Amino acid sequence: MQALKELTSHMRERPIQLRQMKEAGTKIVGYFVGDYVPEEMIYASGAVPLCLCHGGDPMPANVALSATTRFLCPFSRAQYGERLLGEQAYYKLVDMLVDPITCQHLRRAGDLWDYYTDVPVFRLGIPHEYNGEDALNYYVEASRRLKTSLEELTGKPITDEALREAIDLYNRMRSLLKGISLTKQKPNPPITELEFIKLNHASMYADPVFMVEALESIYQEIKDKDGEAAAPDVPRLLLVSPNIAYGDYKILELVNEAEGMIVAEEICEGVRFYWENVKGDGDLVEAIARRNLKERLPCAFMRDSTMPRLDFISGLLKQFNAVGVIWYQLLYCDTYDIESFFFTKEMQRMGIPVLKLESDYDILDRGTLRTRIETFIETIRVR
Amino acid sequence: MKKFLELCGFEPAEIDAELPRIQKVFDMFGINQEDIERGKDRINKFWDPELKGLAKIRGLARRELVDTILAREENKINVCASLPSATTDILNAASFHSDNVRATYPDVLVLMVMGYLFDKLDPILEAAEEHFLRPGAAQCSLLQVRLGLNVLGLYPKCDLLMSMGSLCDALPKCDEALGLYFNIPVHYINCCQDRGADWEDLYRSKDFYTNEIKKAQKKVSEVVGFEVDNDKVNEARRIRRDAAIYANNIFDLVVNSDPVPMSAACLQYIRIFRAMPVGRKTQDGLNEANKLLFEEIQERVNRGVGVVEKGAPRILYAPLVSLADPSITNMIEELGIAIPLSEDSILVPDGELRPQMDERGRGEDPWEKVAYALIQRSIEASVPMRIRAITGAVKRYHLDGVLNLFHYSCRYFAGDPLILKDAVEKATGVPVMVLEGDMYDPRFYTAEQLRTRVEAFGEMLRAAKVAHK
Repeated sequence: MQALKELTSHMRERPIQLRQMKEAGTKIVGYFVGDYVPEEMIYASGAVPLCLCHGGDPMPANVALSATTRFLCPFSRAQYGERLLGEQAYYKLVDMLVDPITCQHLRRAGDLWDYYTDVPVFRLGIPHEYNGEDALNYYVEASRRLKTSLEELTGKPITDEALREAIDLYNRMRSLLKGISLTKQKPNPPITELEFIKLNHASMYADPVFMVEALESIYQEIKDKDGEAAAPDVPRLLLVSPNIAYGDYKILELVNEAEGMIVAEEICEGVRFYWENVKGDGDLVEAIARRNLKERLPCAFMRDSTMPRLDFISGLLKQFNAVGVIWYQLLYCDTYDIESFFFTKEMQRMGIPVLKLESDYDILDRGTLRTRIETFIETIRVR
Repeated sequence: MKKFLELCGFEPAEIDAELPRIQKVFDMFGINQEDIERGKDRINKFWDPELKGLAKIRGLARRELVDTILAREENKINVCASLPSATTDILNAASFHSDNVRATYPDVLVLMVMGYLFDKLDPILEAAEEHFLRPGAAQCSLLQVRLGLNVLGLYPKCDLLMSMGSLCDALPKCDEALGLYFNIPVHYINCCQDRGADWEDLYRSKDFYTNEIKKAQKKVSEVVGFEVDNDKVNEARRIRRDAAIYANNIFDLVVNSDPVPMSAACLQYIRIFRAMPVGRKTQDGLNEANKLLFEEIQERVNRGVGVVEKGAPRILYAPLVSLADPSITNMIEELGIAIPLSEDSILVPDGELRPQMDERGRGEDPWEKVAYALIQRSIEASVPMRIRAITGAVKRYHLDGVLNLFHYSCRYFAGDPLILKDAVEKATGVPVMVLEGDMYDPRFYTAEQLRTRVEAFGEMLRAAKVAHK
């Protein structure tokens, strides 16, 4: 696939390109995952939005233990550890960090940046209530303060015209990701879940205009195509997780190796939520906020989010013809852990087997995970 | 049992009247003779048994727990909540106005009685671990207590569960799950933690929080069947005033005296009772008990009597003293370290004990004052504000060190201890010790495990004190 080759080349060059932009005066704004930071606004400010989402490697998570305790999830620790290690260029380039106040883990990652680095941190208030007007108003006001901070950083006002363009660009990106994702509904998907997630992750760091073009080409190329015929007994699975980081591909690889097929995902952090776009032409800041808070699926840290998430996941199972769920959570992710108990029981009631896996990014857990995944897939196969 | 109740400040007539109800609740919790004997031993060891005011407070906790557990079968409308205390005024207004309403924090009461007194939380914690708060995942033991009570059928099924969403994520998530499993209506009170180093951020949070508390007021009114209006709230505040004033006087005496006249664990009991809603009868008892206790503590101060020697090193204990297990702070005091202050008493910006009420922070609205006071608490503050509050308290109260025994299973408190240590040591020059512990589950972190490290810390503090002289 030519577009994929070009994207790979772009990703290889991207850190160098960003460094050159930075040296030429362009500001680089990093932000944490979860789809609550209005990246459209960062883009419209003339700064480069970078969604920091590396994970899966035990080293950065462990390095961060010099500054925090082991009870933060490994992903959150890695967000500071990467900066401390300095091996990932993206984490070194950031001129400002936007920390969405979502779960306590990511909140603390922002605190670590705030205390130990010289990068200014903007704490973006996310009320943990997705369906209330008061909460929306609070979030809109927080977004407006972010807008002011970005304008101060770049020295340029964010015009409605620029914001509209940015919204259109990111809407297009989400629509294309959705289109590509939906191709996995086919009996023989033309793209694997691992490839899709890698594409999704690329969209966090790539130049958005380039990314949209790449996605457009990829979509056009695969939309009417079938993949290699899978064996008839390959179980189609859904992946549910609080977080799949850039580099945390262990589970996806192990499922592939065990000859299972993940066909869809419901992931709060790390993977861009592409099912809903920003709508409306009035107050654009409010339109973005409405999409991010009310119109997207709430993460588990939100109040009363269990049932909407269960409904959404049940819908995905049907749409993608999946017969089992892999629930992959990170160690000490408290809200997903609480939810998993209820979720597993509800899935059992629906006759859907669930495999719950947990990771601290430890390289040694690969063998254990492999055995459990192989057994799970085998169990589904013989049902 | 009668002897035990006497130790809890019960008068003989009260014992005769209350014994059947107390026995019933103790039977439900499986409290047997062995537990009663252990309770007596713990009173003697941890409770300053000669303080009569404290004995009465022990008895009030017992009464409050009994009234709460039996509320459902005594046909009361049952409204439950938990700390932090944003709902205290609302719930007191409702329960003081009508005998038909029981409104309190049941899990806190269970910690105070079954944990602190009897050391019998294990069956409750284990029940929770078999449900959705599994072991090995660092799930909060306070929430395990709440869940375990429901699983064992000990929690009085409530008509409304007020869930505090102003601090951690796990508490509201746990309450949501309780709602789903046990069919309990849940109402959330949220606040956003986007505050940084600027006081301006507090105003913003205060407005949001105020509105949330007002929504809770409406919700409680719907459930109890009468309007919990501001007049009722003000009346409830008037009824509680004496207890609050005497509690504050006790805190002032403790922090300003050398030797420190009262143990940190007992002080925490007073602090929590001041913050939580109780029944009217208990409140009247509390008003009297706090007055008596204040007089007793004043008398101790006059005589120069303390729980540690005069001149002992003084520390700030962060973030808060356990409600379920007095043995850790007791061990620290046994090692000759005084704990005149815990972080949950101090406020931003500079470690004061009384909230700042400026023009913008306090409008006409009484709820604004509640919200503003709550978000000024150091333990609810942002990291930069918390650093400033602890630093301020160390300087203001001439403390020799800080001991941060963070609740390992609380994501809210487990994220920043090393930042606090680094910043406070740099700003004050006093040592900060960080220990990992569990505030509500005595099974994994015991006083004896921590003793060696605290001993070394104590030596360091003493040496620094001598060097300073």
